[in-house]
Amino acid sequence: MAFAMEDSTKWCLLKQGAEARVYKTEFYKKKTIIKERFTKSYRHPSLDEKLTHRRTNQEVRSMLRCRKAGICTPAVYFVDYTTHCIYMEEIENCVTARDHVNNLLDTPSGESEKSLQILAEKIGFSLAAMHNVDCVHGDLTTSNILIKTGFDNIILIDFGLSFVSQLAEDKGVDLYVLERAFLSTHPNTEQLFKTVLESYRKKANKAEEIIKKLDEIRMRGRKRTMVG
Amino acid sequence: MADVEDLIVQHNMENSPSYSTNLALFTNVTNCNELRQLIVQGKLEAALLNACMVTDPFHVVIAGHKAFQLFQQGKMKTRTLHAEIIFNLSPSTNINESFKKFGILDNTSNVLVVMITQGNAVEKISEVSKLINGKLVSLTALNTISDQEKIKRFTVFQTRNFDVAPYKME
Ligand SMILES: Nc1ncnc2c1ncn2[C@@H]1O[C@H](COP(=O)(O)OP(=O)(O)OP(=O)(O)O)[C@@H](O)[C@H]1O
Ligand SMILES: [Mg+2]
Repeated sequence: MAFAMEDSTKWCLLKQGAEARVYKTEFYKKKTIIKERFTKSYRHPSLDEKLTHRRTNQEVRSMLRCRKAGICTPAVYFVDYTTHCIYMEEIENCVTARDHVNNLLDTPSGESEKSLQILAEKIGFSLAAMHNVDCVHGDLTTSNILIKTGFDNIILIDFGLSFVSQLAEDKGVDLYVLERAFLSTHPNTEQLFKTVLESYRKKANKAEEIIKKLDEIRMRGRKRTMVG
Repeated sequence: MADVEDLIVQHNMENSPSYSTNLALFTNVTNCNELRQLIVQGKLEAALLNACMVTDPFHVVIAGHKAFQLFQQGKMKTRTLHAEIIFNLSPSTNINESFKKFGILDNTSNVLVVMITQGNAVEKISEVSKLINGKLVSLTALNTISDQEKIKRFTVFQTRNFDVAPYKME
């Protein structure tokens, strides 16, 4: 840990999460975000080390896989596996889709409505492109989507729980996770989320099968809550 | 001709500031055949890159950073620190292939010299530059000599470690 400690003065903490800290810094004069996964004391040390390593690895691999497929994610500059730090491009002048959507919902107008529709479409297209290269994100929320001023595309981040899978079931769960997160963070947006799914359907391979799975997963979810 | 000192770009190693990665760009180089032999014989300790393959010096500095960390940990994939830099720049996991694409060939004329040194690098680079039959120019000239098409073809937008994506988000 000596590395991270030594330089921590230059690292400005942006976010302290349950499994990771996100810092803003400069790396060879480039504005850089560092995501540091930390080990958890209550877990078995060597198991913990493995798990942390795996998350870091998954995150990096998926980011590279997505970028290769033309999906916007931050460029990965450097990975330090001894401190579990990912050094990546800082997306400047960005807000989370969560904040962006809330702002638009707070200021209802024809303009806002149109922006929301366009955003929903972009989300659907990006997720389809991601699933088309068999990348399942694992933690889709509007907090893990960034919107950059003046940049047309949405930017996907936070791939720590991602994995590679061809299964419609896994992709369906991915959509379900987003749906739940979306509707609970942004109440009364059922129509908007439909737009996400419609544009997803236009671009995703095996879209029908995946959406069918999503319906099944919803049913299961409902049954589970009814039983209690 | 400007001083060697003015034309070398030095980046102190993050986390190990007593070391630095130094870049110097040469054009019109005519003796790459000889330079390659010197490297093989261990008489020239530097990474000599085909400058046409480098779009952004930042990528080289990062490759140096990674090479240095692996060197310290004894985890390098190649035999020398400078070879490791060339390997890190390449998307390929094949060392020979990486050298062929990112290192110099006998007929290479634009050469980017990369040296990781401790302390002041000027003296060491001056020595190396005496071996090179070519013209030391400002690193900013890289813009005009990178072969964008070539890079696209070879690197498939990224290296194993970081990427040189075709679109810019900055
Ligand atoms: N490359 C980046 N550029 C700009 N801001 C970023 C970048 N990466 C992350 N952020 C900011 O930091 C926040 C947290 O990042 P991230 O979602 O990766 O971490 P996390 O949610 O703590 O991770 P985890 O869910 O794995 O615990 C983001 O919501 C975003 O505001
Ligand atoms: Mg997050």
